[in-house]
Amino acid sequence: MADRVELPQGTLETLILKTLTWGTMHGFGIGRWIEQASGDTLTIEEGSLYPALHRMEKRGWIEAEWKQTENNRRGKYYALTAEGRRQLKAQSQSWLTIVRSVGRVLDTSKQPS
Amino acid sequence: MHDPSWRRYLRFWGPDVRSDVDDELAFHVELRVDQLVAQGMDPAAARAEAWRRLGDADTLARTCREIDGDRLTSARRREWLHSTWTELNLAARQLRRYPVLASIAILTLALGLGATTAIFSVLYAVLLRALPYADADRMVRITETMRGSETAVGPGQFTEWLTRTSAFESLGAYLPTTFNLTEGTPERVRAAFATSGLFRARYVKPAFGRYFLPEEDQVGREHVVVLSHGLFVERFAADSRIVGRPIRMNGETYTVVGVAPPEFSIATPGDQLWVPLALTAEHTSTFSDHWLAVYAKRKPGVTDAQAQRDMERVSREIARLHPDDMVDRSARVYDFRDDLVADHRRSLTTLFGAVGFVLLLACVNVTNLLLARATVRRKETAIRTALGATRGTIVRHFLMESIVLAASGAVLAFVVSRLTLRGLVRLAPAEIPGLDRAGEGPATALFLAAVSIAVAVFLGLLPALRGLRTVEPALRMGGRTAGATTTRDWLRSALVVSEVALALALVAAAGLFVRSARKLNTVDLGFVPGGLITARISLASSRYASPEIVQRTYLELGDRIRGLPHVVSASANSGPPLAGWTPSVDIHVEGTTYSPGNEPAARFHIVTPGYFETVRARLAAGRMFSRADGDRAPRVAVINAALARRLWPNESAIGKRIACCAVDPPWREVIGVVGDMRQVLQRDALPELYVPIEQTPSLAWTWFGNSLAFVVRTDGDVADVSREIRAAVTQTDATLPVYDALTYDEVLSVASAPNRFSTVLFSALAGLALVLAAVGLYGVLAFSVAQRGFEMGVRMALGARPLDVVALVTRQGMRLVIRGLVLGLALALAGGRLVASLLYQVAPSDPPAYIAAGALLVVVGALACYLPARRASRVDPVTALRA
Repeated sequence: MADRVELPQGTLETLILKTLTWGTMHGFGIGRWIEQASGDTLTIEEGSLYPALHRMEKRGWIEAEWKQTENNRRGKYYALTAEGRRQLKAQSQSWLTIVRSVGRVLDTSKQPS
Repeated sequence: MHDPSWRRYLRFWGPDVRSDVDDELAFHVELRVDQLVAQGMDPAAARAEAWRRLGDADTLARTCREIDGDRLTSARRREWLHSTWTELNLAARQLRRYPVLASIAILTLALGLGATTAIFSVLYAVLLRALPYADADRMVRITETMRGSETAVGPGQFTEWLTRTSAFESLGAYLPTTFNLTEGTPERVRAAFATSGLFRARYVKPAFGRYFLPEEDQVGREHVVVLSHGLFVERFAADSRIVGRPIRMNGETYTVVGVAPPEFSIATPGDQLWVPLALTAEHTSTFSDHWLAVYAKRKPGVTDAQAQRDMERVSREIARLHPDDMVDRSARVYDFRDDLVADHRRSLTTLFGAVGFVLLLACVNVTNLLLARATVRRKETAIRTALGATRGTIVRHFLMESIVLAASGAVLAFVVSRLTLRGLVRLAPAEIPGLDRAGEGPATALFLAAVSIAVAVFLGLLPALRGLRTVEPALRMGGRTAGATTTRDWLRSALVVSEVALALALVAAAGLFVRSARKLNTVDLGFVPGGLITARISLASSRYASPEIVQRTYLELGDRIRGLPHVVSASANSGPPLAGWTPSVDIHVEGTTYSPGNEPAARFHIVTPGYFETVRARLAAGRMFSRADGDRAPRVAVINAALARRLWPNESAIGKRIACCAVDPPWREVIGVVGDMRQVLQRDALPELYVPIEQTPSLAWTWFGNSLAFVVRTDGDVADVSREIRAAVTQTDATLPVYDALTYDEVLSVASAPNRFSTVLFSALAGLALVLAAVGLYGVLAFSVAQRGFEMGVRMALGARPLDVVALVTRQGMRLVIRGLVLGLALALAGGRLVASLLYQVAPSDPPAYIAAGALLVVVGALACYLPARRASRVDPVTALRA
């Protein structure tokens, strides 16, 4: 198993939004998907996942619905709203900008003049 | 986690905040366990591991709930609204399956609610709406009283009141008059003399300029005028530069100092301008004549009772100074609002009560319809209950239906009330204050909403309780319903009985009004109104300075009018019957002294020769006036029969000598007695005194502002004659306006307006009630016949003839009608007393009205029975038994 890293503050929400572009999913599924998609380098703590989901639901980025699963359990499934889609676009944009800028700074070999 | 599964059932009632979060986390744990077990972990260990990863589950749940917090309450509200909306939709869909029933119910409610709302908006505008004045609750009217009955106020008394009273912060006197406004086309305007204090007692901020200053109450300063807003707009193009400018009235110049706000009035609406009342020294020392109206404002904290005591004290003080003029006299304080609407309070509240009856009837009717359906749906309700629907759910379902009905009814009712209101305003007697404001503002809409909600609850509850009660028997009963259970539906029968009772009460009340209207139509007026017209002229300008000129001008005008085409005869009277104001004067009789306070009085008229012939009055004794009764001829008078009875009950009046009003000392000989003519349609004639125009005491002209009304007998072509009269008057003096031009048909129509108002409204309400009761009865019988098809089939199969079946059903229906009639009779007799004061010469227990009402209901009831009965008699026994 690769080294586990902590997720920077605020990025969890972006990842949840990204995850939900694949379709409606329950909290457990969202956590699992992010972990797997990151090659198991990211750990999603339930203690931050669920508060994040509820916060995002309140902001109207995602909406929830109770559904029956195949093995007859009732689960709360989340789906992306139009507002969520807009958020994802904006957040991934700025996230990529940050990553690129930080990478460029770290990679540079020139001494500041 | 502690299994919250039972909580899920709460979800039937909407989302549950606690279970939402707990369930979500529990679900998470289940999935984690599955995952760990799949990875080969022991299930028990997996469960422990799953909970461990969750960390402090309680804190996490609490955090999530806090985040959800308000969102969930609003979501909950949203969801509740959503589910209510769904249920309403469901109810509306179900109602649509019974379009006839639903439309009848909605229409019934719309009529009931609409009529009630319309009457309420009138009631509110007239009786309840806040008056537009500052401190309106402290405004009062003060009158003098003579042996307890109110009289106008003497100028001397008023002047004393100003200085002696302590209960009022402002006090003003008012005297209606008219002016010839000679700016441009001459126009007669309704006006009033008003002291400066009056505008403080009735304060509303002026639209422009100011009201009168105290010093303008003095002779010499009084040539100023305040315009009403209406006149300001019509005559002066709403140009505020008119303030400060002079205008010409009665041939003199007045300066406009202010414009009153729209709809401002002091006593009665309709004044077009106000001029200061400047009392002369002669006036203020006069305590024997009474011709002022007085309005005041109580000081803050002073009650009506305290103000009344204050006035009584002042009256005693004045009586000490002028004992002769104050015999049996005192003063009374009236609350302004109560006083203003006193005449209308009774008729409006009665009407409101009656329309409440109709609404009740409408509700009962719809309840009946719904009950019928609830009976049909007993099975459905029973099955729902058996499947777990709680009582609450069932009641809620019924309530949803009644809400849909009431809401649809209310929307229609709004339209109905608007239309009704328009009719009401047109029909109403003109002088109801504030009526033009009816329907304004949110009060009416709020009333409609509140009543509709009450109606919805009323409608829903009874069928719902019914539905609940009959659950078990319905299930046990199986497929076929035996007839008896529905025919003994005592509740629906009781409702029909009460409908018949309400309808009888309303029809009987309408009958009383119709009888009273007929009595009024056939009342002996004492003159012949057909073809008669009246038009008033006022010789008010400085051109008519002396009584001689005024008298000569009227005689000349009379001759001119008499010569017009279509005119049969023409003459003038200062106060023609039913259409004029007549002052009351004391009568002195030669050789008779009356005890103080017991002096006879009579209404005073100036007439031109030929007047009695023109109106076709009956001569009871002596002769009428002729041209010979001029200013040099012996002084004469004609009196009416009422005055003759008052003065000489046991002997002939002819040749007796009388004098009127202290200003008329030379005795007049009574030369004729005419039959009584009504001054007011609804009241017997008061004593009257007529003097020929050329022998008028000169002071009397000032009472009438030099005005007389021409009374013209035409050969029927009324419109032409009115125009010709105007032309003739203009030829005499182009500045003279002709006003109050009316045919006697119009005069009578105005005079009977209050009675017509009540008659038409009660008849309309009674008609509505009758239809509702008939529909209710029909509904119950038709339903019961439908339910008893099987029973009817059996009866027919066993040999009953169709006639027997008709009789059976009719008997069932008529039994209800008779019970309703008995109950309704009691109700009507109780209610009759409330309308007694609105009736004319009809006792509130008038038998013909009740007999007619009863008969009408029996006929309508029989009709409502016959249709279902006939259907029952046509039941084919074979079909019925096979069903």
